[in-house]
Amino acid sequence: MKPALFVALTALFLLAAPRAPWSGADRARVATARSLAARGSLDVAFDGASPATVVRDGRRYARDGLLPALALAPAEALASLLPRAPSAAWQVVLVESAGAALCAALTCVLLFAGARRLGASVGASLASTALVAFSTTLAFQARVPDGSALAALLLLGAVQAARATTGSRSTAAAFFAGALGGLAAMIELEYALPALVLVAGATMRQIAAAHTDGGDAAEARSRAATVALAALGPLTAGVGLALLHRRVIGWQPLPGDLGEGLIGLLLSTGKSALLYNPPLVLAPFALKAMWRARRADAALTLAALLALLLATARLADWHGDPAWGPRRLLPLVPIALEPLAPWLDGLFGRARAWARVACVALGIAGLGVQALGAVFPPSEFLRLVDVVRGATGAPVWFGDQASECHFIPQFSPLVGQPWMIRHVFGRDRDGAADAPWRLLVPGTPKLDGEFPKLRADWWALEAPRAHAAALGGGLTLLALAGALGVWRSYRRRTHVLR
Amino acid sequence: MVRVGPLLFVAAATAASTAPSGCGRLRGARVDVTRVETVRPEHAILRCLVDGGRAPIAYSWRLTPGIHQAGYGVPGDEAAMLVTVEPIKTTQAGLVTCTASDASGQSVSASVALGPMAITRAAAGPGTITVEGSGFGVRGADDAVWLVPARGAALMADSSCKQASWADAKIVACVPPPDGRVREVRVESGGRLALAPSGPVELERAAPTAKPIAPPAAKPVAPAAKPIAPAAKPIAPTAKPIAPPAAKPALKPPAVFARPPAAGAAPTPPPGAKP
Repeated sequence: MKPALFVALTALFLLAAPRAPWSGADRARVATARSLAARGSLDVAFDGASPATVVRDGRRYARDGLLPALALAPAEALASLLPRAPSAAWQVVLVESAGAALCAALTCVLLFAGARRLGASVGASLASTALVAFSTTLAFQARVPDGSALAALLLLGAVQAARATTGSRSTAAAFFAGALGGLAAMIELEYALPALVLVAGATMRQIAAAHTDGGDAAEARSRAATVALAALGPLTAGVGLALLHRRVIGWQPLPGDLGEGLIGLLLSTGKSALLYNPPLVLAPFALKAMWRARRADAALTLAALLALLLATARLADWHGDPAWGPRRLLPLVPIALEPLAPWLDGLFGRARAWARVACVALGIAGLGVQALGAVFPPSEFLRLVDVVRGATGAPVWFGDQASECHFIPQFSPLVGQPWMIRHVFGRDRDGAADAPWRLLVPGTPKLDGEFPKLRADWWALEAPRAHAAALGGGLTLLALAGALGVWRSYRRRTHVLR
Repeated sequence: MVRVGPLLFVAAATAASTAPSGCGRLRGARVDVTRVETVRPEHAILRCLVDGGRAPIAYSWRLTPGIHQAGYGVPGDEAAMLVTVEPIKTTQAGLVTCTASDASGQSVSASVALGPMAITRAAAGPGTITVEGSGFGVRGADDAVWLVPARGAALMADSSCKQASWADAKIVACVPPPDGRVREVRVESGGRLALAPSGPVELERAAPTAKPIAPPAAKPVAPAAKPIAPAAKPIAPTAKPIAPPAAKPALKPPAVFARPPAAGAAPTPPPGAKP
């Protein structure tokens, strides 16, 4: 079932690939990957000013982590074989997006496997996987090769490996958890905190397991030390490489405000994890059920989630703009929703029916949110807000992107995106009359010149029709074949059970 | 213990990671720039980011001509500032300086250049390089002319030697001894980078004024002669009469930089590759 699920999801994610890298950070990352593929150098070597880069010793470097660029380098090497004509740019974007689609599909497969290991049925595991795949920001980030989907994959893998350190292969599992955590730290150094918490949790579980087995204290200490060393080795290597990379490029980000980050990630109207990932509403119920059934596993998951939330909130750019939703918090989504399937299986009667209704309703809402975000690049609404700011001579409180777009409901991208869709695809090109921020800025300038510049963010609109039809048709067939494989496997298993 | 162990670790790790990093001492500052390029004149959001310091922190800004604060009656002593950039009117590379002072009286400054910078020409004299262009500004501590190879460490031209000078439109700096590698001429100023339009250049040996011309010419020949060692011997006697023509490079105009045959080629030619 897993290969079929992987094929189906990869094809579906790739079908929704975007038109072009949309932000300075994306362009800098792509340039780094191209430079790595062509010259083995991190120097992006473009002229002028770029907000997402840093200049040191006559060289310009992307400020991003090292791993997203490294992960993108094979795609760039492959893309270098394609013609460099502007008419073929869509092919390059599609190749670049393939890495993110693969990572997101692998995350879903890992989630399915994790749910099954937690004792969930095939049906419930498939339902929770579908919920994460299509109704959370994973669906959106599966289109963007910015390392978010890769981080989700790595940290979910690290949680599952840390959970497996109680078995006979505890040392190997600990090493795996540490290695995945180390790689995640190479995307965002702050991801080392949840990885460190997982290592600590795995070590303590060893001590506890030795006590319950009736072993002596010395043996327990020795087992715990082995597990800790096996995990800390690769984790330290990853953190060391991330620090070395920052040193080489001369980039030392200053810490942000923890309170602002926490409120922004949890409660704000522009970046709340719950608004952009509606199925997360069910996570507390699922985690509570997990706490009752598997307390040690639940404690490990909760600790990792808390550490991830705090580490992300502490970042100066916790919002990760320009992005749809809290992209830096994406790894939290599959980890928090992993116990959803066993929770659904454990419900009976009316509770089960209500839970199913909630899953469907939240799934549809989440799908709508992701579809809304995918229509235009998330940088476009921020650009229109910039136009308004420039035209109105707005003062300083209006100058910070996070405060204007994420803490004031009228500036939320969730409100702005439907407004843009109305005016780009509708007849009325003057968006000033019903601009979402009219309550705050009554004198909104005319924006009719801006809407014709907006274009839907889908690769097929850039490609020649014949190519788009052929490739789109091929991907659809692949997705259908994968879905058919999943369905047949599901029927076979349920038939055997009956 | 198992249940609360990881949570305790989270608490400890979080306490470590979220504790105020400054703890009294004002460590440094940086001006973060977010450019709003879609609006004319171009706008930029400046944020003075401070590491450490005791609250309250007072901010002051210094803007050079061509950079104006946007808005009316807006306070100019906050941590963030929205400015307009008029590239034609900017002088001193559009330098913006933020000074932050904390309650204990310590203060730190950080600068950033907002104006455009461009190199129009990179020419050379003996032992020096002259870079012409615009927007180089006033030379800061990290600003320099760099000679950057495709791989490996970049060479910094010496901007503090006797012949060196740094002006808004012209920089003269001393070049380090040549190593025969293809390099790009770049200027780093105020966090900006400008690339020479002529692409990569090869750093050649500067011609000495009076003394030996032969030794420098002989050196590049040597590596090429090695692989054909048996044949080299008969040639050896004739090598001497060739020596005077080897002085030719010295008669050339003292251009230290010349374009290699294939500009932008990644592999660097060996020292003796040129005839």
